[in-house]
Amino acid sequence: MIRQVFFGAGIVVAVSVIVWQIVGGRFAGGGGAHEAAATSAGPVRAPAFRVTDELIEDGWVDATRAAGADQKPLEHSANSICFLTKIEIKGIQSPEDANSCTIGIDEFTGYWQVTAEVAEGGHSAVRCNARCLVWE
Amino acid sequence: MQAHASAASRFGANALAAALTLSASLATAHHNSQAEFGPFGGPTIYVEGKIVDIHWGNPHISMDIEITGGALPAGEKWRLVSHPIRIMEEYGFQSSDFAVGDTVKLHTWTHVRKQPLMWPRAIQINDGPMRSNLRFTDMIDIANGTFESLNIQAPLNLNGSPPQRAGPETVAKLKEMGLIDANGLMIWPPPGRTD
Repeated sequence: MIRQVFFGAGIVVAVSVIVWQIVGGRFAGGGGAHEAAATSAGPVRAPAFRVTDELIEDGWVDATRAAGADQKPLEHSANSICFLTKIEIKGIQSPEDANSCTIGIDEFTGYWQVTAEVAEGGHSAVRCNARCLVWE
Repeated sequence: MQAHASAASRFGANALAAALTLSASLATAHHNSQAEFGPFGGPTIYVEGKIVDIHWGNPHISMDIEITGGALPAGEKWRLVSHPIRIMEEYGFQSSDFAVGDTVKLHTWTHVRKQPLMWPRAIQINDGPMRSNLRFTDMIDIANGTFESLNIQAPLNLNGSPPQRAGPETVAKLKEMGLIDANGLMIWPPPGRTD
């Protein structure tokens, strides 16, 4: 137990140091290499953050019509992180009526995407939506 | 990289879903392409591309397209989305019409929020005809007298379609043109002409 506590504390310290190095170097120009780069390239601009609205249309599957998966792109994953804000499930008919809301990166477009899905054989309906934190 | 918030579907899962649901929206709207891509009569762009992947499924078919020319920069990656399978078939499209590696030419709307999504107004596969993918836009173009010049092949389901979604002005013009039958449905091709 004690060992686990020390191990956990060690991880926290390590992550904190890494984050401090990165954030401190990026925003304050601290650190040798960062300082040199900042001097030659001018002051480093802190990124502007914004939070997107939910998608105009939910990711939505109504399996009373047809099961399937509805994928909706959100924001480019290079400068954003996205999170689910809506999971709405209706009309589950049986233990096999499987549905889900997932969020992940689409390898083709490089965008975050939210996916609403009802598996084949299901008869329920699922709606999903998401928002993103974007830095520019 | 997948972060799952999955609702295991079994009896009693409704309670879990309710707890996870951050919005209590009771919206009952259907998929609304106009909300995402603009009105049926809105401007389109012309693009050319190559099919990289095909998802012929519900609730709507989709294809991954790598742009090769037209109004979008070559090399960009876009997803084409369209109707459910049944509606695609009513338009005259079959899954066997499309294959990975095919070239497509598109008159298309793009997403109003600049997401890499396009909804095609018309689709040309390889050297085939440019085929309509939205009958209500066909109705608008027919009423405006511009349809013939677009060289777009009308879809199978244009004849006999209820025209209301094309808008009251379009319906009125089509009536004047003798293209609405006694049941209020679209007549195409025009009487006396065979396409």
